[in-house]
Amino acid sequence: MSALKILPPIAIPPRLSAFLSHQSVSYHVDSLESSSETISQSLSTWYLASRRKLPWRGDPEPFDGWNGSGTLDGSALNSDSKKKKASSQKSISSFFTPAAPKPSPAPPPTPRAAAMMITPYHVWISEIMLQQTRVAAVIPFYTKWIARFPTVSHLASASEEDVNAHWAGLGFYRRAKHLHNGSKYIIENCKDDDGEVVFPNTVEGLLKVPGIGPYTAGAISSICFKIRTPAVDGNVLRVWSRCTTVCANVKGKYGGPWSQVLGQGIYKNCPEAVEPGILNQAIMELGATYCQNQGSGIDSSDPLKEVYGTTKIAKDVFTYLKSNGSAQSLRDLASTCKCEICCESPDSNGVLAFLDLIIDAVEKNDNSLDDVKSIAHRALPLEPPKKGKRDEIHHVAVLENEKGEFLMGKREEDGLLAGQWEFPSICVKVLLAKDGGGKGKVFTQDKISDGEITEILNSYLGGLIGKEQVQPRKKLDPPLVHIFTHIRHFMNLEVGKTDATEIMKSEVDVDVLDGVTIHPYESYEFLSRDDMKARGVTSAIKKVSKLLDKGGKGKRKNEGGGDSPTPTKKKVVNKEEEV
Amino acid sequence: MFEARLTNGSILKKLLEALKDLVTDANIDCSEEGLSIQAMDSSHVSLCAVALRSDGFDHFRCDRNISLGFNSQNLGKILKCADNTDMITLKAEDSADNLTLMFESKNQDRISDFELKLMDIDADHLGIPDTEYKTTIRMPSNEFKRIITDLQVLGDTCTIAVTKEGVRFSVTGDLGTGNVLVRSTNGVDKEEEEAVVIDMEEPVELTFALRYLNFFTKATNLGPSVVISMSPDVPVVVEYPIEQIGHIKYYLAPKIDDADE
Repeated sequence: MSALKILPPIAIPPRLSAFLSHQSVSYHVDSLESSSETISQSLSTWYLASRRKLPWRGDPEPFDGWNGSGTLDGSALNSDSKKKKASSQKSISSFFTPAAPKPSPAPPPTPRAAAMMITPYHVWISEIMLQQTRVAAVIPFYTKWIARFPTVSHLASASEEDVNAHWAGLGFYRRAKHLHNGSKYIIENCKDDDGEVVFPNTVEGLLKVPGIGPYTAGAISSICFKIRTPAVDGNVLRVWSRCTTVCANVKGKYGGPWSQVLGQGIYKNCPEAVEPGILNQAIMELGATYCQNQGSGIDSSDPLKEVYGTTKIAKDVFTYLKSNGSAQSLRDLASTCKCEICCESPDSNGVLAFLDLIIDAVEKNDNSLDDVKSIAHRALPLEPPKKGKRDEIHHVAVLENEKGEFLMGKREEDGLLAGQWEFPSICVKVLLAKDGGGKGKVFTQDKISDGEITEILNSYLGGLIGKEQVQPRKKLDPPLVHIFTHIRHFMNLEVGKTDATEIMKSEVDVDVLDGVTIHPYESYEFLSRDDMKARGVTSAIKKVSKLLDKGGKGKRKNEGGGDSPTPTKKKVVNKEEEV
Repeated sequence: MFEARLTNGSILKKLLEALKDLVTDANIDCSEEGLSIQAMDSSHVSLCAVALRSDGFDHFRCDRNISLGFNSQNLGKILKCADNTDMITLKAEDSADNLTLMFESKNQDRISDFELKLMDIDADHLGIPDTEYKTTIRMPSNEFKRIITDLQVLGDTCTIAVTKEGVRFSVTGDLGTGNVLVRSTNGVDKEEEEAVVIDMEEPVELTFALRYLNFFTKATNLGPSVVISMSPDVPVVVEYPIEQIGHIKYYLAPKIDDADE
């Protein structure tokens, strides 16, 4: 019957086909550049109208996101405004428009109360404080900090304790140290011809300041110096990824060098009138609001709803499949994608993964077009491959020489505990943690015997200080546990003496068994306890030193009357029985 | 140079009482016409406008327009030091950082002066359009205060509906509901101040947060009557006329159903 005649498959829409088979990153850059005018204008308009009032943006109190304005009614009123039920409280300013500025009655007299200012220093402090920290939590710390250290020179001349005291409670204390070091660097190195301290005003200059990375440099230079440079954080990556359908996770190369390439694209057709600082903040704000992980991309008040590539592609796939197009031909086309970001490695094709998600969504019959659009929208950026938590078992050699110095290695400048000093160690086992391995549980190594481990450690240490200097070590039980966000280190301490006072050579050349890794250290040195204090050691090493102090005594006790605690207990029990 | 003297100093005291819970910081704008204050509360839901005409003062001099930024809690604390019967004089130099307040007792046996440090306040001045309101209610300020206090027991949102019948204040809350109907006063046996006068061109019904209406009633001591003006979908005006010198007006944005959004 003609009514049942199968329609011939329609052609893949050009926009979809271009996306599925794009061959290089320029696809994303071009698409960002071509929409950059729309993006920058609609975003900056939206941002200026709806931004939150925050102290580091030069706003006076009260601030949004914080109801501690100090006055009783301030906090109470805010809590009232949250109780929105069926009807919403309108703002008075939505009825009355600001009057034309009054003819200034008198030339502004000398500033009476300190006006909130935006200087590079203020932006810097706020950006660092806001890393990993909620706006509401930052506001009180920020105001307190600015009151105590109003300028970069105040900060540089402050003592470390003072700085830490004003950071206390915010967490991630390294940030305070970075700020402190950065301020000292600026005071010492950034001067104009007259010797006056000048905050660096270029991206390159900012990047030289310790503790300022590409993101902070971008934020400061765009907000304060109106330099057209991107400030890329996770929120921004998400927005771009959804605008230009970058099918990658932010942990990979997309978040690295490519982000700067895309970041410049946004300025390509951006009108002069749009201030780079506003644009950057607007993108971040969008990423934190409409375009957060669970954003739908179809919200009617989302300023970029017309721009998102995700929803466009979703619509194309939807209509194509609904008009009897073949999913397989889409998949075939997607496998030809050679984009440097979307197909980072030969066996991972982000476009294909993204496409599969949409096809799945379309094939579930009850999904409407809008459902599919938001599923596609949420799919980007792709989730990074799951890194399970893991346990690592280390054998740590604590060697002390006659001068009371310890053999220590400095970790490389990248990775975990970058640049920190620690006792040399080898990692003998990595366990992908489920829930096993309770705290303090002694780990035994299957396959590798204790003897073999000692041998590897010996030859490792021998390479550093000379074979004859390696003496028998005493093992401390139980292993020390140190927990990082995603790794647990179980450290089996082996304590010993050595006569060596110098490092013979720093290269490590040891044969290791399978499963054993020697952490590469940048350099080795003998350090006294005072040296350690001066250089600062990690809390794990502090734990070790503490344990050494305690452990020594503990051992002696045990050797003296190892079983004494148990009999005492027994006696008590007996007494109770007698009664 | 700005200088203003008010024999009835209690007006200033009461004015600050009426402001300080709603407004944190504000400017006193001084000009030849008099003093004015315009400020929003911290959540920008309501607006408060004060006007004191220069002819209402016993002595008034303002050489050039100046704005005196003050913190209302702090100014309130200083005014608490004045007795109700004191004469109060305000003084400020043209580019002064301080406002001088002088309190003189009735028989001149006690003269105190205070200086309040001023602040720079960058406040948006809102332009308030001249509106012909559809309804105007004039009632004793005490009566209004009582209604608001009573309704607050039951809930946080109050509907004010003006019909031919009168003005109905209603509240719905977790406890239950409440209605207060106020009718226009008929007859002549009441003093003008105690009368309720409803002037209605067409019925109006609006919903407001009681919390703010309650803040407004702090101005009750400023005068015997209150004038409430409403039109559909615009802020209500709650005005307390201050005898012979000016008024304090509160504007409150209504709550509007979001159903259509």
